[in-house]
Amino acid sequence: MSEMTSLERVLTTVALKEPDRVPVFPVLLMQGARELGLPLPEYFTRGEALARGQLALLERYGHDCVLGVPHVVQDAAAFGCGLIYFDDGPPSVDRMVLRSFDEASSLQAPDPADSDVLRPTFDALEGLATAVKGKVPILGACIAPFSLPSMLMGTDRWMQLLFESPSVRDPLLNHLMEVATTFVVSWANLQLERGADIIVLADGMASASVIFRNQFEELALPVVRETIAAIQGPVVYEGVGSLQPFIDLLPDTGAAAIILDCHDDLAACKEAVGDRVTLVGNLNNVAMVTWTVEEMRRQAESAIQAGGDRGGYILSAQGPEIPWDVPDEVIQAMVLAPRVYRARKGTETGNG
Amino acid sequence: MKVDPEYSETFLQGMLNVDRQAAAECIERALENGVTPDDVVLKIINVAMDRLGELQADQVVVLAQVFAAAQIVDNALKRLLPLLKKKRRTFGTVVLGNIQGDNHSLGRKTVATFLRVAGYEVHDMGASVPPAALVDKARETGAHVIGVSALLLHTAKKISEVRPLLNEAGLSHVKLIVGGAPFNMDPTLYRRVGADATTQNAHDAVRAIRMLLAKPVRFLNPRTNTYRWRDAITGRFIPAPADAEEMTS
Repeated sequence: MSEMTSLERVLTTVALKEPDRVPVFPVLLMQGARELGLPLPEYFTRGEALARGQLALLERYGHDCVLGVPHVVQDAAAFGCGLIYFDDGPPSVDRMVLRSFDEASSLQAPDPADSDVLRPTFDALEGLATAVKGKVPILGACIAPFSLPSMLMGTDRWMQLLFESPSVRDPLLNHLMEVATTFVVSWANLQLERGADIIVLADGMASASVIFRNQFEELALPVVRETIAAIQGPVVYEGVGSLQPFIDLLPDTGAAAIILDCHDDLAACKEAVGDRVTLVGNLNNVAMVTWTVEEMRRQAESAIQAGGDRGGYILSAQGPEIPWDVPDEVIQAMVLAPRVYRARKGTETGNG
Repeated sequence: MKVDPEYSETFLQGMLNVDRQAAAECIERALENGVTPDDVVLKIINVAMDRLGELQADQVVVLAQVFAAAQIVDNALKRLLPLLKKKRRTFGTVVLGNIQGDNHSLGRKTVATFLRVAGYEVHDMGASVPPAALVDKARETGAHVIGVSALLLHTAKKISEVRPLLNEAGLSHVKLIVGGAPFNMDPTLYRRVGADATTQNAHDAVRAIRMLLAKPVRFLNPRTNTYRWRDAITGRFIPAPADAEEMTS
C-alpha cells in the first residue's frame, strides 16, 4: 500500500477502511511554545504563534494532525469568565460568570464571531489552513453544550441543578442547553469555515465517571445528537472521563470518532462498537510523564493491538493535552509506534 | 445505646436515590424515637457514609451521586449540630484546600463533609490556596493533617512547595495528603509532590487520615491467644503496622 497523506490516512480510518498505517494524534499544544521559545501565556493568546508552533511540531514529530485551538476553556471566557494562565500548563477558569440559578436563567449566547477572546483561534486556523489544508487534518474544538454550563457556574452548582426536582430543573436546564447549543454549533461551524477539518467536542460532565447512565440517556444524549447533527463537519466526541459504560449508545450519536479515557478497556470498547465508529486513545497522558521510551513503545503497541490497524482506530492519549514534562523522546516513540508496528507486521507477513 | 440499623439503611437509600426528603424524614424519625443526636451522627449518618464509600470504591455510584449525598449530609448536620449536648470528641484537625491556581472545589467539599461526620475538625480554606497559607493555617489551628486537592497536573505540582514550608516552620510532624484526578491517574505522583498519602475518593480520605494519625496499640486476644492492633485514638481495630516486629520486640 502506498503511503497516504495524514488527511487521507485519517479519512480512510474514520471511514472504517484500512489505512497505510494507524494514524497518531499526540495532543501537542504547549510543546509548540517551547519550539518557538515563547512563554505559554503569550503563545496561547497569539493565534499566529499557535499556528507556527503547530507547524514546528509537525516538522519535528511527523504526526497526523495539527490543533487550531489553544485550549477549550476559552469557550467559557467568551461568556465572560476570567481565565488564569500558567507557565507550565494550560489555562483554567478563574472566575465563574454565573453565581446563582437566577443569573443562569437570563444567560444569553454570545456571538463567537464577535468575541475578542476567540480571535486567536481564527488566526491560528487560517495560518494552519494556508500551510497544510488538504494534507494534514486541522482539529478545532469546543466544550460540548452539556458541559459548558459547569464551566460558567461551577461543577458543584451544575450538579446541584441536575439533582433538583424536574419542575425546578427542567426549565433552567432547557434554557441553558438552548443557549449552550446555539453557541457551540455556531462556534464549531465558524471554526470549520476558517479552516478546521474536524471538531473535537469535549463533554467532561457527561462521562460515566460523573453521571449515571440514565442521566446520560435522558439529559445529555439528546443534546449530543442535536449538536453533532448541526455541526457541518466531522465531530470527534470526547468524554474527558470514562465512556465505556455508555459506549453502546455512542455510535448512533453521529460522531465520526470517540475518544476513550485511559481507564476504559480499549479492546472491550472496540468489540462493543464493532465497525460502527472509530475509537481514539487511550494512553495515560499523566503517567506518561514518568514513562521511558521503552514503556511508551510497549503501551502504544498494546493500544494498537487492542484498537486494530485495519481502520476505525487512531492512536492517541485520553484527550487532554500531553503534559509539558513528557520527554521529547517519549513523544517521538509514540509517533513512531504505528510505523514500527506496520513495518514489523509487513516483515512477519512477507509484505515488508 | 443500640440503634436500629434500619435507620442507616434508609438514610443510605435516601442518599443513593438523592431523595432529600426521605433522608431528612429518617433523621427526624430517629430523633422522635429517642435516638440521641450524637448517635444519629455516629450510628446512622456515619454508618451510611461508610457504606456509600464502599459502593463508590466498587464503582457502583458516580461522582454526582456522592456530591449530592454530601449535600444531604450537610443538611442533616445543620439540623443536628445545635442539638448536640456537648462538643463532639474529635480524632484530629485537618486543614483542607485546593492548591493555588486550582478552582475545582467539588472533591474538596465532599471530603470535608466525610471528615466532619467521621469526627475530624475541618478547616476548609476553599479554592486556590497558596502553599504558605495552608501551612500558616496548620500552625494556627494545631492541625495534624493538611489535605490538598488539584484537578490539573500542573497545579498538582505546586503542592510540592507545601512539605518544605512545613519543615521550615517546624511542622514536619504534620501529615500531607493529596487527591484529585492527576493522583488517580498516576499512583506515584503523590510521592513526587512530597505527600504522605493519596486517596481516590472521600471515603478513602477518611480511612487514609485515620491510618496516618493512628497510634497502634497491641493487645492479646485471650480467646484466640493471638495479638491484634487497635488505634488508641479512634478505638478502631487496625491492620498490624508495617514495622510491627520491631515495635513488639
